[in-house]
Amino acid sequence: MIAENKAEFFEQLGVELKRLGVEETTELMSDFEEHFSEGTRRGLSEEEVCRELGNIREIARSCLDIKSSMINSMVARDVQRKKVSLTKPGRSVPADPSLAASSDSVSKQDEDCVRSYTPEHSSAEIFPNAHPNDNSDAGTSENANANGAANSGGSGASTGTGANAGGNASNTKGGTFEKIGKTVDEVCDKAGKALNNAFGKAEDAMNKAGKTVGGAMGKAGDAVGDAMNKAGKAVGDAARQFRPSDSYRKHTSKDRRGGDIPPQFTKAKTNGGYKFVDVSGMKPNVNKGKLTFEVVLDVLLWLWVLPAVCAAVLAVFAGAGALAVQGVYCAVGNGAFYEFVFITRIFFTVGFFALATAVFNIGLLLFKAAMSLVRYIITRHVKAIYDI
Amino acid sequence: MNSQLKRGTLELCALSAVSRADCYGYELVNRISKCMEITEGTIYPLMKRLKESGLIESYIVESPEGPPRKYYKITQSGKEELQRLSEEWFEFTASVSELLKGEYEDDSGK
Repeated sequence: MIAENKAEFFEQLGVELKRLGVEETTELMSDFEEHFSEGTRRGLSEEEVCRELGNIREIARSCLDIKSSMINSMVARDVQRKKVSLTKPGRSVPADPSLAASSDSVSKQDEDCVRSYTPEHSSAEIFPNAHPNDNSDAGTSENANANGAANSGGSGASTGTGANAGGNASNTKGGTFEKIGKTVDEVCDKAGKALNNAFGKAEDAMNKAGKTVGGAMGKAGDAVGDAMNKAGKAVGDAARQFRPSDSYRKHTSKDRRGGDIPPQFTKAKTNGGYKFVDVSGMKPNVNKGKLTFEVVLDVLLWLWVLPAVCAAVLAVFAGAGALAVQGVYCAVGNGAFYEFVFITRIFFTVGFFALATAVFNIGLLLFKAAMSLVRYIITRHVKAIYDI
Repeated sequence: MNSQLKRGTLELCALSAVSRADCYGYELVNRISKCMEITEGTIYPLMKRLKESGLIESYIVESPEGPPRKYYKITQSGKEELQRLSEEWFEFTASVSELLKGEYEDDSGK
């Protein structure tokens, strides 16, 4: 990442330094400020200075206090991910210049080109008569060195291909070599173009063939898929015919457990068996007619019926009590009672207690009746108040 | 040129450049980048580290034609370090060259 102006440079550098946790950056920043002012004083633009300074991420990383070997591996990783370029930007040129656009003359070798091909033989070995230092328009320091080295029988590290070497040699004084070189170039160029065309056509043909084949296979696949879907549905429908009937399912224990609650228990479930009127959320809306009737009934019931019922209940309980007392007296208290035979006395005693229990039960029933009457009255009151 | 070689020798080059003459930031950067291709911005952090290690020191010179400049100057320990590093370098390059020449001779002899 290279900035385009000074402000951007400082901003990005600040971000990167912060990201890497570098503190104490003031002196560094002032160094760069100085660099910028010196650069602009010498006539460079901010953009040019930024380009000179290079990749900001790398600058930030070099501030870290870590061993150079670690930095190497970090940088190498970034280079691999194509985030950092360690050389100045340069054009990449194809190894075989005969495939390049203009191949009439040997392509001008750029200083910053990256060549990826090194020939096995130096140009001097192929064209021994070539003049070592006469490189007119194809001359670069690199090439001159290469030729010079080749001529001294040194390393075969001249850059360029065999054809290019031929072309280089052809630039020397020697008209025939020039012509040979040119024809070789042209022939290679034509051959290359013809090959390109041929391969291109073949590629197109194969593409078309591939598309049609692919289309056909796709349709076949769809058809098969549809057929299988239908078959599957048919099988499923057939299977469903043989499913156990619903009534059978009801009798399985699982369903029985999950089935309805038997009716005799539902009453008990709701409010202990009693029906209450649910007026939660309702506003009182007094029905005056109903309410007056209720009040009259109240007077009647609360002041007459209910006391009577209660008295009756008490009387019953008292009677039961008396009988029980009598029974006890029979058993233990009365002298005359002892004239009877023992078994008779037992019958009498048990009889009295049984009677007492029965009467007590009657009293209890009456009490329950009285309570339900009270509840009924209250419900009537509520209904009158809410006008239900 | 191999980037790892560049990184390893940058310190040596910087010390050498400063030892010959005191120079300020821009000048130093220019001088080094003429000889080899490096990310020029990394020189300033390098100088900062060298200063922290006590191998160089800096002083400010007021300039009539612009802002004050920071000049770098090598210290005694810096000179010693430079000496040690250059010896190491020459030893290293000599032995590598020997190896390469030896191999080449063996190859051409076949």
